[in-house]
Amino acid sequence: MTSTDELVSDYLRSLERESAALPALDREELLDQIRSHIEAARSDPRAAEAAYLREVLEDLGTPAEIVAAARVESGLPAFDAPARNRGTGRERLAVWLLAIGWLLIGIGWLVGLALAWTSNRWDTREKIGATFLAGPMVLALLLAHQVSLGVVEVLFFVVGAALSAWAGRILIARAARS
Amino acid sequence: MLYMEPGVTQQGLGQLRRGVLEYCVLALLKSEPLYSVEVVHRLANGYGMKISEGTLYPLLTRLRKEGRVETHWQESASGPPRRYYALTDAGRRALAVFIADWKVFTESVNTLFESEGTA
Repeated sequence: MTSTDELVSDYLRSLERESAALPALDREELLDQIRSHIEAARSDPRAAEAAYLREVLEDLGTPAEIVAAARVESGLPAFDAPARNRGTGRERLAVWLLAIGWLLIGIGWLVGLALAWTSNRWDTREKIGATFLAGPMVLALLLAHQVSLGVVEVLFFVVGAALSAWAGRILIARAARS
Repeated sequence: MLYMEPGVTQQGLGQLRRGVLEYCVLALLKSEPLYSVEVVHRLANGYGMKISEGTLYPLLTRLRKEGRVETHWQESASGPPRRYYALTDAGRRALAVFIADWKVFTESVNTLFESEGTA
């Protein structure tokens, strides 16, 4: 990779990261526009010079600046207020209850299920994911039941719990994003 | 939008500029279709309105979604084809309404500032 390639890919990577919260279609269109903008600028022979290309990217604006503009046009606040994580309490509780609530004789799990399916921050796929959040752990327990309880079974359970925790984190992040 | 600095758009002329910019863009497109870089250059060179090129794209996208501009691809003499933006009839109407309102509004504000604002 030449240094100009690197400049461009760093810029685009940063834009992709910053724009993650945009609605999918708007984000795609924005990335497309910026990519073709840069591509067009690079058809100029001067763009082989890093200094020239740096100027092109500067005129384009920082990724943060562009995303702030795009957010407003998509009807979102320009910047991520701390508010971004607010309002996901329901989903957080649902994740906890669905992950370990079944240990409380099922009631906790049922409450979690109700919370998850009435969430307006998760789509159906995410709700299904939440429903089976405890799946890996339950599976590990079932396996442990067949065999005698030992180090391997405990290990199974730990791996199952880690899988659930990982899935739970993703679900909470998704609730915060939408 | 003139999103030159995050803080600035929240105060002073920032919000106002942002609201007016889209009509400036529509006005530029009134006589002929332009591609995005031309829009930015005409704003800057013709009228001293500097904006970051990248921030224009989301605005153009919204205007297209609202049916105020339409786009088409055109070959360019140098480099890849360019996406041109043209004013639609709806855009033309929206622009005419805004210009009429704007004249009345700015005259009122000017009159007010002249009689009340001078310390």
